[in-house]
Amino acid sequence: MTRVGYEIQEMQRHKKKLMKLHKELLIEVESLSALDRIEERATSLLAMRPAQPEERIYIGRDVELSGR
Amino acid sequence: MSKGPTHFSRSTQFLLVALLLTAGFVFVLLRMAMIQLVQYGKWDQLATRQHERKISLHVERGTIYDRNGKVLAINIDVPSLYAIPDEIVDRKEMARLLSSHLPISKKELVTKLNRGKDFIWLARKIDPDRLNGIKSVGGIGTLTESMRFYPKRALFGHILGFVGIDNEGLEGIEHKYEKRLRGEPGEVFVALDGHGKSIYPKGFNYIPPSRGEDLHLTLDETIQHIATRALRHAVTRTRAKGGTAIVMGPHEGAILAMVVYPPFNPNAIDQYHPSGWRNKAITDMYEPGSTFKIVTAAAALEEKRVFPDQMIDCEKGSYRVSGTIIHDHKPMGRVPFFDVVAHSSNIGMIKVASRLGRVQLASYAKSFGFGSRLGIDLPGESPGLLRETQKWSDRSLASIAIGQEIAVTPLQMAVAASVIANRGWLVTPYTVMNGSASPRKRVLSEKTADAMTKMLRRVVSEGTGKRAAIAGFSVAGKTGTAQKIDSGTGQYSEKGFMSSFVGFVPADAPMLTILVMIDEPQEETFGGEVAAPAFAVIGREALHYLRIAPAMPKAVVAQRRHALGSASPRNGVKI
Repeated sequence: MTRVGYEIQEMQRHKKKLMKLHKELLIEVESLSALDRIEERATSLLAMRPAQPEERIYIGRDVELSGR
Repeated sequence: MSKGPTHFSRSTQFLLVALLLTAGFVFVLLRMAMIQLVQYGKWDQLATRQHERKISLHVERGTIYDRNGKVLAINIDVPSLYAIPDEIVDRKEMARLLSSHLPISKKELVTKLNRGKDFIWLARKIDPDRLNGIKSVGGIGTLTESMRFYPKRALFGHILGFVGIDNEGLEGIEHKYEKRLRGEPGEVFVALDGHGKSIYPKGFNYIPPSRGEDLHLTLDETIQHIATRALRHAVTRTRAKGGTAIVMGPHEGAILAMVVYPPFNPNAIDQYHPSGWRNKAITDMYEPGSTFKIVTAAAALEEKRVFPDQMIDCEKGSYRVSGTIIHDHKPMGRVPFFDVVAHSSNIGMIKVASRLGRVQLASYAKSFGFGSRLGIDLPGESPGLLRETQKWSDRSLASIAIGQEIAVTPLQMAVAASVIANRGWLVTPYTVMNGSASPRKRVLSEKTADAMTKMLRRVVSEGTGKRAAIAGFSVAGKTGTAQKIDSGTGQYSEKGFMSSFVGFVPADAPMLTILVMIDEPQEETFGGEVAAPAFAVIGREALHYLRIAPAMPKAVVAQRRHALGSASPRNGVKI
């Protein structure tokens, strides 16, 4: 019984540690995925630019759409 | 003869000692009775205080998400530094050491340490890197505290608001939903031994902390970003003082984006003047100018004082009202009423308003939500300003008909345009999903709302709002260019304008109501030139993001639209 008790305590500590790590990673993901940051990186580092309306093609599956 | 020392007999001596002892016992007994019976409560309290300690258990504030489950506000654990001055050997030396690590001067630290308190905070919620070299010093310690963090930085600053040092909501949603977000702190009572050390937790006295509730907003990070980008571009292009943009679902009142420029980052509130924290989309009033003609025209149509194709004489652009000459920016003669709206004729609209009368115009203005708070779930909403008709001057009817002598918030104007998009229903705007439909009220008949939609489409196809057009989509809306009041003269300014555009897309199956307002643009001033292009960009990009394609059948648009108001918490809506 005592051994199991220690094991449970150890697992609870481990769970707490993992939850803390999860939260830290979540905050990191949310910060890094902020759209202004992504856009800034895409345009400055990768020389990307927003797609213009005339460059968009809409493809209909179950509804009838205009070609462009 | 002198008297010698008094000698008591042995029996008297015994009696005296017995009396003294009895008195002593009686005193002790009385004292015991006093303590145990009369002052029982007081001493019990003192003993409890000495042997037990109550420890407050930290409670976590609820997380705020956008409609798709993106984290907008969350808590992070950070250290706070405290001191126990009595345990510090050399306070001056300690102050010198700490001042090299903390943003506090040595003098300030010495003052703090010499205040004679048992415990003092030196710095709360600080960067963990600052603690290197401090941790092991005697008399100084750290505690972990929870700090609010906004990972999207300035994107939602004006809506979310911020919290104080003790995590209490002070502005925005953080303040409005304080009760739900904060939770209830827990408590545990610990028994102490004679040395003040903990023996065991008193399990029966454990009150677990109740975590704050998570909130799921109706706002969408992507649409907010789209609106922010377009507004920033419009403000910088026209060298304006600032601006506001609102995107909402017209049918249910869900706010999808609310942007105020210049932005405000709630992670660094001390870098902004308090006026920069204000959510001007709901707190600030302005004269709407011609966008208000939506209300005048709708009221006149509803009351059958005019018909869309009825001819109105616009007097070639010059007309006297109560001793003042009114001008149109585009002089016209006799034109149908739909062209009065399309080309935003002041004269035509004033003539129509005179058929309506002040009582009815005021009544419709109130029905559209002006002059009172809409009831959005954000703090600090302004009711705007709509004076009682008894206080109107001879010119007031004409002025109010074209959006002067009335002050509105940007949100009120967006909600008023939504009445047309919503076929006559006024909805209550909201920012937090609550699973229930927001209250609504009928303002216009469907027939009038449909007629207004047609006329507002003409504003974009033929009139002053051509630059609000979006290729492949029908757009309905109205331009507005209002002169600001010059604070120096109290008269209308010749230079300061509020340029705006409010409308909805797609006009035949409205999905989004969008308002763009630019404060004091330079050079270009007309709403159709300044705000309409930003409206078009927001509408085009938001529709694309919501997967609404040009010429998509109304039924499909309606299906997607329905999802905007019925997102389920946690997973958000799949659009």
